[in-house]
Amino acid sequence: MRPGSRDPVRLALLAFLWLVVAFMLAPIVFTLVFAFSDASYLIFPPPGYSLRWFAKLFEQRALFAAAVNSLVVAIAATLASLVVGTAAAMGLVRYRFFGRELLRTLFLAPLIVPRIAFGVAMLIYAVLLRRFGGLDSLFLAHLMVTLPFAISILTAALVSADRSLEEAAADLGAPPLVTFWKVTLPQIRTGLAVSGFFAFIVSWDQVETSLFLVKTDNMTLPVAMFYYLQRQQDPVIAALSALLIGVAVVGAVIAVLTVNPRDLQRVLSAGGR
Amino acid sequence: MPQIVVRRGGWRAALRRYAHVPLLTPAVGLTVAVFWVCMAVLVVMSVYPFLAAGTPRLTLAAWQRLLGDPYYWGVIGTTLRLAFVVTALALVLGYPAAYAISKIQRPGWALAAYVVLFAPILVSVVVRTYGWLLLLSNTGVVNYLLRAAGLIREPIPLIFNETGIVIAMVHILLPFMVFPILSVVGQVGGDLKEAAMDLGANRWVTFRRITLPLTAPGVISGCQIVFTLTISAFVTPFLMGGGRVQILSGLIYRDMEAVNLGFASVVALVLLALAVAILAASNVLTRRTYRRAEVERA
Repeated sequence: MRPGSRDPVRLALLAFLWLVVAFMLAPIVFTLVFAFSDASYLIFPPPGYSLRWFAKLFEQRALFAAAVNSLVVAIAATLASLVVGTAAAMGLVRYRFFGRELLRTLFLAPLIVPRIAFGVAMLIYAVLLRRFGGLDSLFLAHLMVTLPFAISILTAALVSADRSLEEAAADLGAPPLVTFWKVTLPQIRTGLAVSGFFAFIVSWDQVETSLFLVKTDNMTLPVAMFYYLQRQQDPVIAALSALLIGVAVVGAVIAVLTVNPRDLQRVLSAGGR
Repeated sequence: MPQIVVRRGGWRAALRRYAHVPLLTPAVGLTVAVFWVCMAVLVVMSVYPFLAAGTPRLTLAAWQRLLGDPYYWGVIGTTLRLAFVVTALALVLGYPAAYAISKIQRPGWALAAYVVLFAPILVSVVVRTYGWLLLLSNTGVVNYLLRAAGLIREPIPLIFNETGIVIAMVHILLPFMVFPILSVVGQVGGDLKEAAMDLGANRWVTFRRITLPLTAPGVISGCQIVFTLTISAFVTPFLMGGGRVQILSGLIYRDMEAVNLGFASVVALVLLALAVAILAASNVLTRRTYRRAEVERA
């Protein structure tokens, strides 16, 4: 007795899934609609359609500067978490030593700490060190959030990599660095791609950790949008959102084409952001 | 004096044996110097609130203020209540959705469902919250549709209250409920279910006795993640609540704006304690479900 495709329970489940899909897409779709609205306030249906909010968006120098800051910090945090994370994962997976489990806990603990609590701590730390402001404190704060992800994903990738290949390379006389570069690295390519991708997204979209660390000179894009929304809700933010959604769609397509769904599942099951 | 024998190539062997030290040093150094010092700073600040001003004096005033005032207990209560509601709703939406995805036969459609559930994560939380403001405000989409359908005359207030916070939070956190469940639901073998059916169990019994216990670890970890992320969320509750719903993260923001660093540290530590307690509880629960599964198998 195998449930067929006309099975009512199955149909109900699929119908429910469609509703959930609609729920997930609704705010994104309507943000796109509002980006082309003619009204300067929030009303549905829009009285007319225009591109003027995009024109106004491109006059916003502050938002542009914030986007550049966000990009710089996100790229730096991504590269640093990949380099430091790969080294740490190699150390954790390929060597047996006293205190290994303790180290693992030490590395992964930042995942549990609420972002906003860490943001408070980072601000106080920066004030005490007289390093408030600037991109360096933001970079370090984001790195603390992205590094645990990188370490946990890359550790899993290294565990499943074939060790006998490394041993074969070493036996054939390849120096450790060459073995790593030619044998280990290609095997953890997916892990690197996934952790790099997520590190970038998490840093790019970081509000809670950055909130207290930014001033005008080191403003990041999501924090700037947050402040903008508190002041006014004209469709400039909708226009900006539309651009960001467009970038995200491209990112999603790239991710789906390059990343194995299993890896994606593992990342999201590990606590996502 | 003991002789130190250095064999040829001995330095290489030593290098290989202690290679984990240089590999791990950058990560340890950074994590300790930034993250762990930060945590220590938070604790110190909560009892030396004037440290940054240069006048360190031990006082428990900030702790007494939080723990001695019923208003703040109310804020903790609101925070936990919202997290409960968001987690419950995310589970009610997420479990059947994950189950349905695992039932999709055509791989293309399954992938599409994956993408739709996962893609919103790529869109900034600020943008998604803004989307919900557009949908739920008095002149927004939902109220327009309800009025057009003749169901209401006056707009229903859906933002600047807990309703708006819950709706937007469920939307933002749903993927974190779906994916842990999805990762276990696929592992429930069809043969187990068929065996149960052959033994005369109906669908509901099969679901309750086979599928549900086997997916429990995914449910627990999904709930833990969603609950923890809800109590720590700031942007969405702040914008959707419009300053009318106070939760712990909002308190932190208020006190940071007022440069009340000591009190903000205390609230941050309370939030951290809640997150740790939830993680511990979910670990206990997971261990218990595994033990029960083993007992049943024996």
